[in-house]
Amino acid sequence: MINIGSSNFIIAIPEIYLIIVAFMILLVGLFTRSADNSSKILLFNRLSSLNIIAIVFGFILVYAIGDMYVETFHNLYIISPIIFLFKLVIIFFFLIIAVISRIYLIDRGINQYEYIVIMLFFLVGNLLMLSSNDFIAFYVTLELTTICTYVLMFMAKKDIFSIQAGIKYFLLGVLGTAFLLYGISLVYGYTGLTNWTEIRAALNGGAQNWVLLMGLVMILVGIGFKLSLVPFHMWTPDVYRGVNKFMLLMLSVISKFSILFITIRILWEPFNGIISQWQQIIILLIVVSALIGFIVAIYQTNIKSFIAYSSIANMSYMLMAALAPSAEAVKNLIIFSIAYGAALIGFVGTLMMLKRNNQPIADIYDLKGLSKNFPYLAFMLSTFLISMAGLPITAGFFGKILVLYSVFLSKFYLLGVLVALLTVVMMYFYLKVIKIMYFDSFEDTSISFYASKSNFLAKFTLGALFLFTILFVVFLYPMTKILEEIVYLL
Amino acid sequence: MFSMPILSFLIFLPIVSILIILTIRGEQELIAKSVKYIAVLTAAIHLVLSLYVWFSFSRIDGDYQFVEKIALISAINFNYYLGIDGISLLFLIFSSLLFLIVFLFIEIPKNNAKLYAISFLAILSFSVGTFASLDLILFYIFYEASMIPVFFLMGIFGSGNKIYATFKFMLYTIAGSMLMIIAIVAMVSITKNSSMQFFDTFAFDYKTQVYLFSAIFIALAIKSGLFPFHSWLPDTYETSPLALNIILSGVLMKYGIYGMIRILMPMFPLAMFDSSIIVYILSIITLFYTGFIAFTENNLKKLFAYFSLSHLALIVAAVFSANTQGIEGALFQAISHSIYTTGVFLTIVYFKTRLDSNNKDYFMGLASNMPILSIFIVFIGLANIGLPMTNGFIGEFLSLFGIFQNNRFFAILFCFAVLINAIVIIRFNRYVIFGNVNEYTKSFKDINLFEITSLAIIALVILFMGIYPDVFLDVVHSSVSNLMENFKNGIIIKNEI
Repeated sequence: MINIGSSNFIIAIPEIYLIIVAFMILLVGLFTRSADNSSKILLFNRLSSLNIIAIVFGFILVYAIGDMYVETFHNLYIISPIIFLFKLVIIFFFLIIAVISRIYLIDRGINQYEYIVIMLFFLVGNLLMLSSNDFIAFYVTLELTTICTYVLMFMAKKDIFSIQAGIKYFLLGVLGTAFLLYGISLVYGYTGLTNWTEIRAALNGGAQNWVLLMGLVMILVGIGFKLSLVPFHMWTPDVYRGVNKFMLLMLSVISKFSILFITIRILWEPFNGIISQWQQIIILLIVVSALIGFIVAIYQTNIKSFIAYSSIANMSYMLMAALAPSAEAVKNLIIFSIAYGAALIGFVGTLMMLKRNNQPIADIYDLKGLSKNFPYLAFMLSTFLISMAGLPITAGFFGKILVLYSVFLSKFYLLGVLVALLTVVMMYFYLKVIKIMYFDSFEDTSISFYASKSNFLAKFTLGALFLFTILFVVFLYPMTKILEEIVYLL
Repeated sequence: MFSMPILSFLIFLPIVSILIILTIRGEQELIAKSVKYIAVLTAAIHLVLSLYVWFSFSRIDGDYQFVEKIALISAINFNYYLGIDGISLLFLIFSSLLFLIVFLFIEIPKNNAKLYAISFLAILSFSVGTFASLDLILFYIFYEASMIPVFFLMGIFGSGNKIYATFKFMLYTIAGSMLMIIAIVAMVSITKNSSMQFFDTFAFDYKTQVYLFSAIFIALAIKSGLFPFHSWLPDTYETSPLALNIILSGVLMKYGIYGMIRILMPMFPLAMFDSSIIVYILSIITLFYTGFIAFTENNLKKLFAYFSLSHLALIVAAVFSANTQGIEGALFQAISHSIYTTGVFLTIVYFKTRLDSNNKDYFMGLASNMPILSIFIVFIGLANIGLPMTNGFIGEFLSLFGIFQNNRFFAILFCFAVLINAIVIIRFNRYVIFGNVNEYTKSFKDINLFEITSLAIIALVILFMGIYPDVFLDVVHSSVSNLMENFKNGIIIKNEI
């Protein structure tokens, strides 16, 4: 008889459920005849609707499991209030992306039902990763997510840029993983442990051993690759430019956020005893990433490479919250990630619906004259940009100041001031996009914009994101109250 | 006292109008017309409501009145916390008045009329929020949000090298306000409280005060155009539409003055006390520097931009004299400046409806063809240089009086500096009004009844404020004495340390 560790494996029910759904979709797809293209599209359409409903139930399940401290599967899998919040954020954003990109994917010639299956595996991988309490579990689930992203990139068969991006991402992802794995083995070599709870207990008194520190550095390098922190960021613009807008969101929101969240857990849980060692490395990474990210971003004209640099910069901003373990930092980080994620998904999602002369919008200068053709869409895009820039009264402003607040609480004044001042540099880019949409003279009548009309749910979601972004003040009180009740640290 | 949330009314009334404007459909002409009606109606109701606040405001009570409070983040005591004292009330009522004048007397451009009106109404809403908020973060939100409509107004309705000027303005102000928000967040992180009333009595230690003071002072100095943070202003004035010029000098630049009185003085008294000499020097430099540039400037808008700068510098200096007369003088001069600058820019509007140029060489010898306008120009010019019986005199006199009590040497320098303004205005009048009639001015018609009305309103307000200033000073007395008390307590704490 297989001993699954304890009877409370029930806490892993959301992931189990999602895997079952994924296999069901696989089976339905397998046994449905779809010879020609239109029936394939029909199948894809139906299955992605099913997928959205399944994710809604997944969200409900994660919520229903609640915010308790329970471990299962021989302490490989754990849930806690923080993990609960992290999972909710990830699955919520995943749901929004799935909703807004349904028509877009068909439009881009993606109609294999396997795509949906892999998407679900990707989600399950992220959720499992957030719950892992062991370096082995962490490594396996991380690989699950990255392999899913490789497959998703390669599945856009007609799109050679996507395949090129997939290969780049694969090679550098493997390199990063190699560093990570080597680091894990060094930590294992020093402590003889892989379980985070046990490592935390073992390192509690602090340790100066160079093997352990090498392990820590290697793990941070691996994470640096995945989070695309400078100097491990070179792949990011290339890869982002190649992939379609759906994958762009998957990489820049879901993947980035979940790796950031798990980084915070790794730093705070197993390496809690050697804070002073990793703090220096993280500060260095933050400063360099912020410098490169904020400054290089303003030279970009391609929207995707801009988002790449902007995500480098914003990751460094979010990583500031990881510097000192505190409940305050987690709360503020959650608010920042909700605000930033909503703005980024809203921005890219609005661009997904838009076409210029029947071509997708790739360059910021493609947006010229948008305010004349679609004044409301232009206003929505401006709002999302202003939120990403962090100007009041949008959501991004509150995210920015709250993270800064927790940085100041942990007394990193100089770092906070430096990074906050650097954000001014990037304002230039956001304002430039608004300038292109509104101020540039637009006489060319041959250019026509086209917004997809058939997709009510996507439009509704984008509208909701817009309202959420601009009326964030209204949600501030309930949100902080709920977070205050949930978050407490071990 | 009042259960009706009148301040929220004042903030959300323009927002409601914005929503109404968004629903308008139809021909361009029709849109422009209806948008104008809605905007004027909104501003009129706004002014009436502000007047209601003005008359029901208790002059004796120095405390905040019409207080509203809704919790937003309880961990740092961040509330939607509104309330006004005399100082806020003074700024509030004049912003309301200026917006009515702008909507009523300046034509709304035909294309993009909706965006134009929406932006101005948004500024109106945010400016009320700025003057009425009693929470630091809330103050910052309104303060900074006012800049976004300005960005759109400058970029879309501006002229000349507008993109350059717009970005210069935006990046300058954003850089400044980023310093300010960093300082505010630091203050909140030290005390876990963001209410202004809390900070009024909270004493930071000296070093912290200096850091926080410098950050916020730079932000506010950028806004009020103090040397060496002034270089955004001439470009901005030159390229932005005239209605925005009025709002910029009448409302948005006053944010700087208001912030200095509301934040710097009670919260960082020691740093304020010690830095007054530096600020005097900066003000003197601004006054002389901008005065001399104004001598040679031919562009009308830029000329009055520099002129505004020099006036603002005197007001800043008066604030830093940190005594009752200085503060009251600064407040009075701030609102007087709003009024007579509005007059100046209205005359420029009337110039431009006759000949689309900013160059003062084209407008010469107006006295022969436009006698009525000339009278108004002379009158507003005299208010500008502070002739007795105009409001400029009261403000300048009180300001200089305050500075004199604080530092005699600088007071004398300031008196000389103010003289430059007089020379600039008199030269301007000689040139524009009594110069030789040229081929352009030959065909000019004098201003019509509508235009006379607008300038007459300005002139009456100037005269009223000049003859009976007590109406306006009366409102601020008790608030200023409260402020001085807080300030003095802050200084005493230093001596105990």
